[in-house]
Amino acid sequence: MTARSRKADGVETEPRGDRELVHAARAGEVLAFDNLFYRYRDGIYRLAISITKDPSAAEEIVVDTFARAHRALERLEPDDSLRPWLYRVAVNLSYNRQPRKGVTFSSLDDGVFDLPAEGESPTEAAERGERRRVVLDCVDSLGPKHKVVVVLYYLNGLNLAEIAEIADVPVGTVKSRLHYALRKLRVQLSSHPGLDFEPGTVFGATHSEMHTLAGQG
Amino acid sequence: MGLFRATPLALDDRLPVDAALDEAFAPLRARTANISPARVRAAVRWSRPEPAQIGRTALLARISEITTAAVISAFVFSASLASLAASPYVPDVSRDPVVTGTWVPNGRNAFQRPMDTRATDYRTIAGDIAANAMTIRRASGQTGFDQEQTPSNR
Repeated sequence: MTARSRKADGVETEPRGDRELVHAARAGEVLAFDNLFYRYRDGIYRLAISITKDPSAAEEIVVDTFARAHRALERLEPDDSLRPWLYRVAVNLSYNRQPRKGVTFSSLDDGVFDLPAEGESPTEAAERGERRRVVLDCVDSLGPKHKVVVVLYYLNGLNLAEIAEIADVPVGTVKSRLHYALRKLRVQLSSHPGLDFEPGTVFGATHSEMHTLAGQG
Repeated sequence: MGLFRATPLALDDRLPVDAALDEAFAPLRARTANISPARVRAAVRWSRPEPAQIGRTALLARISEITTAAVISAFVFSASLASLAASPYVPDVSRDPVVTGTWVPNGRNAFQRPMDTRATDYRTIAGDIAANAMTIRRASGQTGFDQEQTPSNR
């Protein structure tokens, strides 16, 4: 569903902003809340699934997040975007959810990306899939604060200011966390011989720092 | 310690990690959630407090339920007490009925509990009927036994 709204006469209008939609939803317009839902549903789902690794839990988190938003409509005053507020709720819900013990989830969708693309050999596709798994494992090994920053920046495409609002920290702290996370990822990825990462060139880290970072994985 | 030193990010260093992260997150970025807003509305509806009018009605209904339950409980309790009070008299077998004079001889060399004066002694009535029958038979020359069944007729 597109964010464009359609009037009764069939003339498409410009998509309404979050502030207008929130006010309309507060006035009882069901479609306004649905527009907000469809606008942020997938982003919140991806964020939740990257933290919980559980598709059904991610769906519940999406529902819980929007249910909270619905209950908070009266006191919500989004300046420009509702996104930081929703993402903050989703991050909190994701980390507060207890993981199911001994259960690992894998999606059939992931296997689709391991299939060889056009002009790609099966070997290359398998290497690409393995490289992807190694990178995701390295991201999972990060601490929660750093992982959230990386996920929000690289997966959800949020800018530093929005991430700062979600994490409730200054922008400088977000920069620092992102920098530290990338350094650590670079070191960890360098330890895998199949990946094209050269050790010793990690953002100016010294040789001893490389060992320190690798040991903290 | 140089670990947290604010070193500028070299583009040559960052690009491979950026590319690796972009590639790694690509499948996840393509995923979509198959959830409709109706599910959210249902979740909101379930957790929403009841309107005041419904709340008053529910309160009245709850009071009537409690009253009905209390009445039924009281009825059951009083009925159980009444059944306890109407329980039959159980003689105290630890006491000697002969010594205490509560039991009387029944005429067959045994004792029996004295009969309630309010009760009808059907044995007496039956005995009277039998005695009357014997009297009638004697008057008509018959014995108490049928002729066919007497040993002398066999």
